[in-house]
Amino acid sequence: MEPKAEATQPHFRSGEMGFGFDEIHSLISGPPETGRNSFTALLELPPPQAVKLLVKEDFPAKHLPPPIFPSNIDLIDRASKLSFFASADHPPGSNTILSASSSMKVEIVKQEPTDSQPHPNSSSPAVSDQSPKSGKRREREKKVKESNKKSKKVVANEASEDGGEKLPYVHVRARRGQATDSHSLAERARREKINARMKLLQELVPGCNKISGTAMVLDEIINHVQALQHQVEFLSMRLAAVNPRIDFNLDALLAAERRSSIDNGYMGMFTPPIWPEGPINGNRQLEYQQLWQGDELHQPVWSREEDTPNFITPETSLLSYDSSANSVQKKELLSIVPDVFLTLKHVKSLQDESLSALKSAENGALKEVKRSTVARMFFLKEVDMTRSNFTLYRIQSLLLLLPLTLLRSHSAASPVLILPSDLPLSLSVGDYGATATGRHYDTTAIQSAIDDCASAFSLQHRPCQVYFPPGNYLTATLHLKSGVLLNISRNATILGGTKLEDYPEKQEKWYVVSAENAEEVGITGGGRSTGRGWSL
Amino acid sequence: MKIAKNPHTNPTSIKTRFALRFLRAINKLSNDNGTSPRPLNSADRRKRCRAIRAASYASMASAVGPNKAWSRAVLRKIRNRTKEMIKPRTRRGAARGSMNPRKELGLGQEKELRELVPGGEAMDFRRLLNETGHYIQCLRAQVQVMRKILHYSST
Repeated sequence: MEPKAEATQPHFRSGEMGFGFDEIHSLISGPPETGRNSFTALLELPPPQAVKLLVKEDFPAKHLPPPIFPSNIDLIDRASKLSFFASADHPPGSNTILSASSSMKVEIVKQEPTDSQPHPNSSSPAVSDQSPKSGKRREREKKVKESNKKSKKVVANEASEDGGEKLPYVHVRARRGQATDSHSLAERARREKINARMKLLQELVPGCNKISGTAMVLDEIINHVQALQHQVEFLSMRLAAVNPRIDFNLDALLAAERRSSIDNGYMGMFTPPIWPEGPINGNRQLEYQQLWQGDELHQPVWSREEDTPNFITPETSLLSYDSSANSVQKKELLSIVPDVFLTLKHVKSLQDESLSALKSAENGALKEVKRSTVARMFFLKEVDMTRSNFTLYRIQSLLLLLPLTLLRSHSAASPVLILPSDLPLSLSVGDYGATATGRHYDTTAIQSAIDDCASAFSLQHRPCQVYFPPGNYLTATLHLKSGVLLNISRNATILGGTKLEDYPEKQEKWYVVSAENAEEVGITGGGRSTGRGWSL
Repeated sequence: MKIAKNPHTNPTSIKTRFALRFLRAINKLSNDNGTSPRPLNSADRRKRCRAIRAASYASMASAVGPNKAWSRAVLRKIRNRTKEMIKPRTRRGAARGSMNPRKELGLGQEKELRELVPGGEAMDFRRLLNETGHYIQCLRAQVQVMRKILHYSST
């Protein structure tokens, strides 16, 4: 699969573009991690000689379902209902998409023994050869049937032609003991479909496989999406600070791509509107925030912020934030999330960290402010830190956004960069893609979490934690940076890698976790970290 | 069998397109801001941060194309925003699509998911799950590309 796909690549890329595009490619493509499975090989199709970096597959294999799945289900559903709709809605290339996806799915089925879902391995190769569409449908229905205890059978109509994407209707057969009126049958069919989709989403979100029950899975999904959005925000903050100057010949490349892309309609229409975002004033930016976050929780907070324009000096702004806004917003948040959660020890360490971070703070007036907020958090003292850790993150991320909105709405004033909220930011490595299996290297995930923490600390002077949910994390040497606290939960273990290349060259530096030229670092939690030296 | 790469579903090509557009966006932003090299500790930096974030979402939506409901919603919002900057518009409530009552789960998670995924208000639950899956993948790709860009521009 790989050489064929590679052959399709260079014919329009490196031939036309020359040097500039190779550079872009080096930015974009990552070194193919061959040998995992053909699915990831598909993802790394850009030719390996130009391959460097951006598209590096650092996600573990088992979290990569075929990306075509959601659209396949969509296609199949639409096809099952309205055949004309299906044909009208999809470009003519969709036949090949379906065949591609079915073959991809077959590959994954073959090469993912650790997948939690029972794939009918024996049936799939034979099936997919004949008619991609109906075969895939049967496969999926078999999966649904096997994984679902209810006795409901959905059989695709065999009358569909080979390679066609239209299934005129779906036969539904009820098993013994089931009600047979059409209403409950239809209901069951719908529920099956929803459950099938939830299963796919479960595969997509890391750490979701073990959870059963739709409510928890949805919780995890929501948290994951929020975490990803926060990561985007972090990264954009860092990008704003770095102010990159990238001097590619971008226009030529984009023009060439325009010629070869399908969605011509949207491109020209949409590139101009990006630019007015630059010189927009504060209010518009507030609306943008509402656009992207869209969380109802945020909106009343922001509208309230707009109405209080009296935050001029740093001191008064921070103090009034604490007194008026803090209580109001905190009450709101507390009412929404019932259990709030800081152990006394945690708060104390928080306070210590914040106080020590304050010594490097520029504005001395913040000390009183910070003490008062920390004192307030003290009185919230709560016990449970177990499952509520991700809610902790959620709360903290919400509270992170609150001061951001505060500062945002008063762009005329010159508020201090150091945010009034000194709550420690806690990032879970699960959100960064760590698998916690102990068999796959989670180095990049953990290191990314540490990097984000460090940037939060350096940009905002707030202490930051990297949280390790229970599990075994296999990793190479981790480099701690300033301001990062590793919080390893009780049943989590960090395992040092057993390969020599995991560690830096000098033997004195063979540590699993190393902190060089870093301050305000720490490791806490109660978990373990083993170097496994005997296995080297 | 030859695999046809549909640019709308193949993540590699989406990453490429996103990277190109996003880099172009950043370049234009930094050219527009022009002379001030590093707006330290000021509101300009916040503005820049917000602009970059909006640009990243916009580039991702355009890289994905109009096939997905969430990308359409994002692009529609951008176009409406630019129109609205020209003339003010009255606030309208979002249209609520039909919700599947059987799958109404506790604690309003479905509602929260709808708010998170752009364009999620006007879909039924099944379609919402589809869109969420694709949205998660694209967000992941976005984060990866941004991280790499950051890495390379700071070294």
